[in-house]
Amino acid sequence: MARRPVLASSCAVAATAAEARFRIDRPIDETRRTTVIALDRGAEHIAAGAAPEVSERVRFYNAAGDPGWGGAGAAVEGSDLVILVATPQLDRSTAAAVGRVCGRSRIPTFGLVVGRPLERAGAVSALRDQTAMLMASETPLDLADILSDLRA
Amino acid sequence: MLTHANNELLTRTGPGTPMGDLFRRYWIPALLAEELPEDDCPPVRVKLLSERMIAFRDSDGRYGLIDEFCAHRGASLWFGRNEEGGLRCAYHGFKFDVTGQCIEVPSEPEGSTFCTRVKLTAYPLVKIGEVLWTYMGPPEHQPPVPEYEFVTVPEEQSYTSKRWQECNWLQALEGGIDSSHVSFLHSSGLRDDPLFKGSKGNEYNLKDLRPHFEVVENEGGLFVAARRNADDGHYYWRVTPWVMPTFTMVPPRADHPVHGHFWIPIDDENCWVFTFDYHPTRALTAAERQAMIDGHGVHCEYVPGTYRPLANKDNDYLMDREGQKRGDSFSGVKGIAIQDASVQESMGPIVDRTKERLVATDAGIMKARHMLRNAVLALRDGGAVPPGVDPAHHRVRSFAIVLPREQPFTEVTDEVAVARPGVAHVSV
Repeated sequence: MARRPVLASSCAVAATAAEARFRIDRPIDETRRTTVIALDRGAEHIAAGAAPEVSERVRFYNAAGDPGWGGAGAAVEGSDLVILVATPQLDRSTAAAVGRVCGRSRIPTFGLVVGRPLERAGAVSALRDQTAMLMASETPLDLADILSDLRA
Repeated sequence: MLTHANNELLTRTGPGTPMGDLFRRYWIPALLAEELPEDDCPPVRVKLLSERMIAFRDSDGRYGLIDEFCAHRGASLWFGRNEEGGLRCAYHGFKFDVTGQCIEVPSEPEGSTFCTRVKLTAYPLVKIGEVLWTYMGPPEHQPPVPEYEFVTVPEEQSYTSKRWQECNWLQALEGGIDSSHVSFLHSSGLRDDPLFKGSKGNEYNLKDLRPHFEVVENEGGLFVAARRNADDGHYYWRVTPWVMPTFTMVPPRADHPVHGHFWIPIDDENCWVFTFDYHPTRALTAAERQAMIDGHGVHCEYVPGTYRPLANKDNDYLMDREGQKRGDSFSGVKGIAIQDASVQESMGPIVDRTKERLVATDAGIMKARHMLRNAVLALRDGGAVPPGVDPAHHRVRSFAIVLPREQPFTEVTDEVAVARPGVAHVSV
């Protein structure tokens, strides 16, 4: 097969600063619809700390202290992503109940467990089967950063 | 996505930049030892962290990394003569030793002490394993030398290569933390590559295309774990350690050598990818070493006489559309290293992260950026020693393991993610 000439704007050679200036610069999509659910009291504080830092479009819900929380279905409806926030205080039944709803809804779920390594192991274990992506961290500030990273 | 300010913060590594200051607290790979193979051999031009230098090996076998340009009139010392304990400028004969000290100015009268007051910037250059490492930061903060296992095992157990990648270091590093691209971009390598094939883990990889991920902080950086379904009641875990700022190690397959990378900034739009392969308990076989030299596994073929990949952006990475259709490879580009380089360079010299749309499986990338930013700011604002400086942080291993579903991988990291001389790595 005859090779075609490589033009200055073709993909590979276009990886220059000069060509990068010509990248199309129009909005690609609407903002992601993200729901944050705090699963315990510690998580409630973390979510409250992050809320002022992020867009009003992010929806926050609180399942803390209510093992049979019935609000999960309504909370996740219409979401593109659900972030489950937990700390070592997590109650497994709450995690399982919310996780089941997210699983049935086929919405990607992201688990964030905040706590010291030895203390958070139980919460990490409880969220492992409920989330596609799990982050274990020592800093509560990660929640606001994650929401920003995800354009939530 | 990152704000423009944070993208600038993390990608600029020249002198005086916050990320540049962070890099200057670590020993980093500068060259391969093969580039300075003998005493008084030709000097080598080196650019790292946007500083141009010259590396040489003097008559006594001492390594030097000094300012490339002569203190006299600014001529490049690459044209110099490496002889009798120093590098002599070809222009007027100024001579410098490995510490950058001028030791001779031929035009000065005999007995003149002028040369003692002329000194070029110089950085330490030490050989550990088959790599020459440098430390470009404040001398008073120079840490102990690196203890990564691939450079502490006997030479016959290890092989290191390097290649030029034409983009910023961070987008290259992020490829090493992003485990989710392997099932797509590199899927063919699991079947065919002599350095990967034959692993039971490959079957798990190819059967379960929706891995779950876990990102966990570690003392020197992160563990990024990918979990896939294995046989009854078990998960197959592949765990990648990242040691700040720029070391990653790919989980092993069967008894193949284990490999990893450093992404070292040349300047803000180019980086060196240092790639190693080693086995903790045995010598590499002749066939394995030859496969690495031939560019298999995570290594590549080169433009002869250079460290530039043979497949590069000037030839569209030798894209094979027919092979792509046949399924020889997912992207039509041959080889894991060049598959990575092709997509990462296509993003532009410094990708504009204000426009990206990350998804949940990018959590490793997100967390690494948080940790880099936090370390940069803690160093800038309070002089905090960053994670990954302590050699204890270097003694990590990647691993692949099958565990009962109820057992988290973090329960075994103290046992299997630590480099132990003479003990085999944990692999599937």
